[in-house]
Amino acid sequence: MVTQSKLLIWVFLIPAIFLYSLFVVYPIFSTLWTSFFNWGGIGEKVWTGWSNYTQLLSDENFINALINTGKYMLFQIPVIVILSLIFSMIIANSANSKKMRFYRSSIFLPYVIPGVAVAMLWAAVLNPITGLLNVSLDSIGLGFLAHEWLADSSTAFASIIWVKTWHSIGFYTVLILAALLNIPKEILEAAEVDGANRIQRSIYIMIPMLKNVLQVVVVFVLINALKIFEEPQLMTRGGPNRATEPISLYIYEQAFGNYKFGYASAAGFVFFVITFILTLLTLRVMRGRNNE
Amino acid sequence: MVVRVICHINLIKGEEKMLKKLLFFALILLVVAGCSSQDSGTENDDSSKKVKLEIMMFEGGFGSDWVEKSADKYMKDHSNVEIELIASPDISKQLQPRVVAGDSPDIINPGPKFDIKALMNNGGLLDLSDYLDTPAYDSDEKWGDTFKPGQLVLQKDASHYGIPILFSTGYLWWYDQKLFNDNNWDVPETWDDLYVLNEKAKAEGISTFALPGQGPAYSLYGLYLPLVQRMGGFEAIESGFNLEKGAWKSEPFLNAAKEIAKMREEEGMFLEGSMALSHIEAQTQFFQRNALFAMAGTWLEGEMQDVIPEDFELTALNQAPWSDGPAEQQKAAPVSSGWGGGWYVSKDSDHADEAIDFLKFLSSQGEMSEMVSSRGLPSTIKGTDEAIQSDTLKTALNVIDEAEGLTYIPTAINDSYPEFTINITNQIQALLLGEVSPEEFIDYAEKQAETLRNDDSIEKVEYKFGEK
Repeated sequence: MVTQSKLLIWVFLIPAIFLYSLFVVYPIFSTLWTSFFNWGGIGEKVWTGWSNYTQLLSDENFINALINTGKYMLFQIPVIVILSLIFSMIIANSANSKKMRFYRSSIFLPYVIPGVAVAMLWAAVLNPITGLLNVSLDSIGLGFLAHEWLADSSTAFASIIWVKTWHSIGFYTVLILAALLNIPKEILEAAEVDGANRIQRSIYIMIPMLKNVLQVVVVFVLINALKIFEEPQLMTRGGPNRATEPISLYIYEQAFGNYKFGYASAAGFVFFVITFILTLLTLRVMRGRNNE
Repeated sequence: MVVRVICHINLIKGEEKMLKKLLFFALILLVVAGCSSQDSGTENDDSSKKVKLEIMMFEGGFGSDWVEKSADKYMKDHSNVEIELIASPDISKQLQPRVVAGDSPDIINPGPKFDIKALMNNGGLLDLSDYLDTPAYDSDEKWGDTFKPGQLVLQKDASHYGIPILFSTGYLWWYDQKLFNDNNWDVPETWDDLYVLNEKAKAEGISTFALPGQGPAYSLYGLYLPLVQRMGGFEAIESGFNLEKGAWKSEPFLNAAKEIAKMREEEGMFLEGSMALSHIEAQTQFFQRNALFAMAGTWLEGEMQDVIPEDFELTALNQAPWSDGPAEQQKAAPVSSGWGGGWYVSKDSDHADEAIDFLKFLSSQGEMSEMVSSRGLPSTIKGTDEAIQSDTLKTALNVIDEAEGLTYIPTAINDSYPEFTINITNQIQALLLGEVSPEEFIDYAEKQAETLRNDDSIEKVEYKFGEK
């Protein structure tokens, strides 16, 4: 009986394993293999050993892209996690379920728009001459605040963080909200009876009980921050002067702009290892806190 | 048989049913997969040997509708030929995996982002040399002789691998003659005239240049490199492109960078906000008469046709002469290198003869005259200039004619050294934003040139311009 059930399990698992191997595992190893060659995308691959990797170490554009990616990660995680937590608490405390549904739908709405459309939309809004932001500022007498948002290194970076946050915060808010609504009311009522105010209930009861979902949110935000591509590509092309260029865009440029597929593969594999380690570390830290 | 064997195993009823369903679906999938046929490019119908030609082409400012029209016409006259045209601004991304997989299309027009030279060097392109000696479409004249002199340059050693059909100037300066007439302004005949014009335009609230900051390549090819040529002649450009030691730190390169910095900082010649604009947005500002000049090739008119006001008299202008530069070269005009715009036949094409025949048709005087007349694009084919209807295009061709053979190719550096060019382009953007000084810019450029010079894995090209 057990053996026959196991057979059925394998019957279901094998297609998934096959697809996972084909679309995830194989590309990783293929990328690793290609990284040991010089290859222009056409013609023969020429074995170069580790030279692509040693070249990466002294490539200031690669290092710049890694730093930019790190900055995206360091800014997005706290901004998105904190904001989505705040929004979910506000929505959870809505007076009635109709309002709650309205707020939840409203905040989730940007998330359903494809990332490409969001990037193009905000690029238009931030256009220094015809964009809604500068035109609005000018119309209310605040024209002195108008700026070349995407042409200035510092504001270009902040603009991309803003757009990414605007686009994705609804998803994380809804995720946290679902967990919030599952917290037993009796615990909160008991705390209220014991004299805990709203803020104390939020900090000492709700947030600890949201640890699992927050862990998921942090990992998701981390991974999405590391693989950011559409917004820098469409809003700034990685400029000005590579100030907003993340590692994904750098790899893309190496492969499809410079025809250096071997080198791009090396950069891609290094980035994969960094992402893997970061994700494991994050999970370990959060699980460690869970066990305390 | 398989189902009965499994059922003899003592399965729980529910699992038995589940397994039967799974196997049934698997069987259906196998049958469906077996019934699907792969496109082999040739119909298996014995009654007519239908040939399918696949064309992948870059769709940029020149569009693709003119090729589609010619393809439709060709298919009407050749019922055994079916032409599938795939056109996209990102055709390089579709082309590259096809080439790697050994499944190249029959005819390729790769655009600027595909390394067509690598494909040529790897034996992926058909040598057209012998075909150029055969008669052109519906003509006794040799196909090669139907091209204007000096156009068949897509070659390696003595072999021709591509044909250019469209002629493109390099990045010229464009202006609105009506705006100038209405304000009694003269087009600048010297660089100093440009500064005088700048003051007049500023008084009217108009900037001198609409630079697309998000496309700094426009500034590299349309402003910086032509200014280097004006200051130092072809010799300066050649030394830079040939990666001679110290070339990118030489006076013409430094002085051109200083001039651009001066244009931005002191003279305020660039449209405010344009550093955050794409080339379409910057050009739109130009057509809204917020700037005097835009820089682009002959594709500008076609690319922006939906935006150009009816009374706009779009006119081409060569970059203003530099009074201290070599006098005899101040009329030199930029042209396009053409490798990305060329038309090639894949070496692996199963229908090379049919592909060549279509290319002959496409490049025939009749088809090209029709395209020139309706689309307003200049061609490399003899006898088609008379069909030019566009006054705008005539002004661009006049610039080339007035150069009297003194032409050079600013974009050639990208054909050979794309990574170097991207790095320089990014640095130009920093120079335009004031984030680096001219001295820092040339230091960076020279360092990049040195790295490239010492990289033996990259084939070096010898450049020589201005030869008639």
